[in-house]
Amino acid sequence: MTGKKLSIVIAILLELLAWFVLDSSTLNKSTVDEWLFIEFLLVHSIASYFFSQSLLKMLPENYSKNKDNLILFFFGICFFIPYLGAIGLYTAWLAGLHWPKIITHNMYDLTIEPPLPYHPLKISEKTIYGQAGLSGVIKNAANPDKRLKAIMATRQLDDRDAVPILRLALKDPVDDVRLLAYSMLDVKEEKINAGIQDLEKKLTKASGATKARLHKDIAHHYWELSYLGLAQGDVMSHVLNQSCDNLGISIDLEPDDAGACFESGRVLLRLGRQKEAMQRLTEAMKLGISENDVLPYMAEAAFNLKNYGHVKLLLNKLPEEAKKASSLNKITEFWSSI
Amino acid sequence: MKQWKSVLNSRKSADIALLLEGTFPFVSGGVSSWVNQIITGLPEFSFSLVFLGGNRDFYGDYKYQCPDNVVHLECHYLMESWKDKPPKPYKGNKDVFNQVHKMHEGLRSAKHLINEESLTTIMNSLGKDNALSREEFLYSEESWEQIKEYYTKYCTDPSFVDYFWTIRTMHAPLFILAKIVEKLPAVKILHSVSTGYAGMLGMMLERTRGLPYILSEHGIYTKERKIDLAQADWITDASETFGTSLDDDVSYIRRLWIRFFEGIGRLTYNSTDPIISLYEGNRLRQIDDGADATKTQIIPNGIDIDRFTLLREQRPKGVPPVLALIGRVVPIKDVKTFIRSMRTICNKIPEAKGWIVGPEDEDAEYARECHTLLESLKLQHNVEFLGFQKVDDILKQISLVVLTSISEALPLVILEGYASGVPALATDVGSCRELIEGNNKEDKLIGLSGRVVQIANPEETAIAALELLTDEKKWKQAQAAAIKRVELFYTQKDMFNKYRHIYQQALEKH
Repeated sequence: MTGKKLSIVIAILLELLAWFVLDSSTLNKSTVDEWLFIEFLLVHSIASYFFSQSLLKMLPENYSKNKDNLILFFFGICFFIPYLGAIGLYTAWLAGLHWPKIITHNMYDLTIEPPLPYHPLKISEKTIYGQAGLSGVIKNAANPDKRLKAIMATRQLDDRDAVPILRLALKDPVDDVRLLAYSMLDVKEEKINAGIQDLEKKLTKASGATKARLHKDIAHHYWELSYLGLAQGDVMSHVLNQSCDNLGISIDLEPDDAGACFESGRVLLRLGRQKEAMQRLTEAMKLGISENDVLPYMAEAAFNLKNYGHVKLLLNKLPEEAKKASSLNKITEFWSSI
Repeated sequence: MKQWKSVLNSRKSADIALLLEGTFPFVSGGVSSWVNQIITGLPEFSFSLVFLGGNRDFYGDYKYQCPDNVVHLECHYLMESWKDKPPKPYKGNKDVFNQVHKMHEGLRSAKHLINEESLTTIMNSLGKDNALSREEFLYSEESWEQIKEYYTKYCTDPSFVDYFWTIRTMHAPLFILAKIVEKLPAVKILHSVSTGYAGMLGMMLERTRGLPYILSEHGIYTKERKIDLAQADWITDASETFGTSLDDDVSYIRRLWIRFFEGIGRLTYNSTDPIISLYEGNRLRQIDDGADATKTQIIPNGIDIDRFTLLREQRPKGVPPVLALIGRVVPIKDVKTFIRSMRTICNKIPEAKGWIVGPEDEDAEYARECHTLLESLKLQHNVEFLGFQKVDDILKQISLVVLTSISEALPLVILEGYASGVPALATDVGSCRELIEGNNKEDKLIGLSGRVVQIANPEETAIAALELLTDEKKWKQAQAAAIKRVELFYTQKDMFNKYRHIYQQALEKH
């Protein structure tokens, strides 16, 4: 006999027993003995439990997932509606088996997603302002809205080109123009300063070649503050000194770093320390930086040292192609002619 | 002393509803101090305060004591406008959406016309079911169709999704305002301290309850939002990503936000009378932004001169090289320029001291950057962050009040310095030039009470400071001009009388 059938048989027997106990003792009596009633309840509840168990086992798997709630439900029906509750539940079960739910195969409807409105971006190919034009607009345009637009347009320029225009706009008579220029400059400066802080944090854990590279990177960030024109006056001297100190440490750690020597030379030149600059630039050239790059700076240092003969010599050493470069053309021409 | 708890959501009626966006009593600063001054200085009026904030987490404790004549305070946070029930479909009220369309068309027109009939309908429909409830705005077919139509007609950016969410985000707070309008306890006068959402709330109250509405602007809200939005990196400029030319075009979404704030500024100006500014520059700006010139007037800030007169006698002899920037350590004060200028000043006067007097908690990241800058410029021995201090204790020890701000209105700290006998060095923003060089002919005759410098220019700031600190004669001239100017033109008594008169007139109208 299977578990299901056994449960039903036990349940029916117990239920009969319960009613037999109650009926035999209460026959011809107007009141029910208290202890006998408790005995009845006990046997009836055990019978109800077996009914619930058997019903649960007979249910299809999909319907018997939430077992605790189902047992409670079946038990409640069987217990509180003696006989009829159990008969009703079995009848419902039989009806369910006989007339199962028709499974529909059209479970999904096809819905086409309505397209969202769209139109492509129209990009003007016409250049409205040239770089020089932007400064012109800021200096001369009477309408402050035009000046504001010119400032917005600097977002498409390199920082090196945008900063002088934005600094010019700081002197604008209209508050809005000045404020916009200020906030755009501030964002640029903040990016560089955040970079410095980030590198300085990394520096605390670094050693050897990594440490040298980090110092070089920090120096480069400081240099950029000066190069872009974001620092002026004493603050510019300060950032250049910071750059110089960091490059010094980097070169001490990695003496063969030609790039660090070259950058150090340029920083020293900007700081007005000509002799030291000359020394670093010479080292950079020895370590492999091309003559085209180094000689013009060495010539500048020589000029600042009033060593004019050396200027001519250095510029003459420049390869012909470099001499013709637009930025040096006039200078080399002048020095070769004297 | 009254406790804020006792007035929070007390629902008591008051004479005046003060509409405050991101200021008193949770944020310290010039505008908040002014609000505190007005409430405490006019004890004959009772005040109901409506505080509008962004996100609840941005605001900490009360920064001011609760004045006795504040009877009600309610706080609302606009970023919480999305937290509500799950969506369900709505049809939407065609008539109301037609009025919304008419109003938008008017604001979009070259003359920025305000369609009074549409505005009244919208104000009476906003937040109401079967009219223009929040749900109908967010989920109705009418709303969807209108957004689609506007995108097709006007939007020059390609992304409909960006446009759709921008429209929803910018309008969602209006439904919070509608709830406030419905529930605000009875008041007789409305007074907003800015345009923006607070100004919009006043406009909605004015329309629905027919109350007199006063506007006092310190800074110009629309201008400040424009600057923020021009720089906001949460808006992507499609033309910047794809374009190759030096095109001046700004993304449509960016312009849409700017236009939204310009629009609510216009609506506020349209509803308010009088429209008060602190100085002539801002009055002209209000007119440019759509205010009716006949409704504008100027009431400058004023201070309690007597409180500071005693400090003049407590000053040390001569001109000690001590400068102070008194203000919150926030980017708008450009504390970094002050620190940088101290580098140059200390190179010339090694014993010079620079004090930064103000709380650092509002923008901890910026404060940290300022500390880092101070260290990197090796100014630890010369420049100190003193935190929040009693201004009287500071003013009697210093020789120069420095203000390197990139934006100001009419800074109280300059007036307090003047009354204590301290000249000012300020950037050319707001009314600082008027305060230092004089406003009208009579004022100009008094002479310079300090120096005006260009913004973000540490060198110029340092040179001007050195000029006054190293030349006692010039400093004394500036001090005399400062005292005379503040005593003649910037007294608290004048300011209270003017506001008392405005409130009384408005009460008569009520």
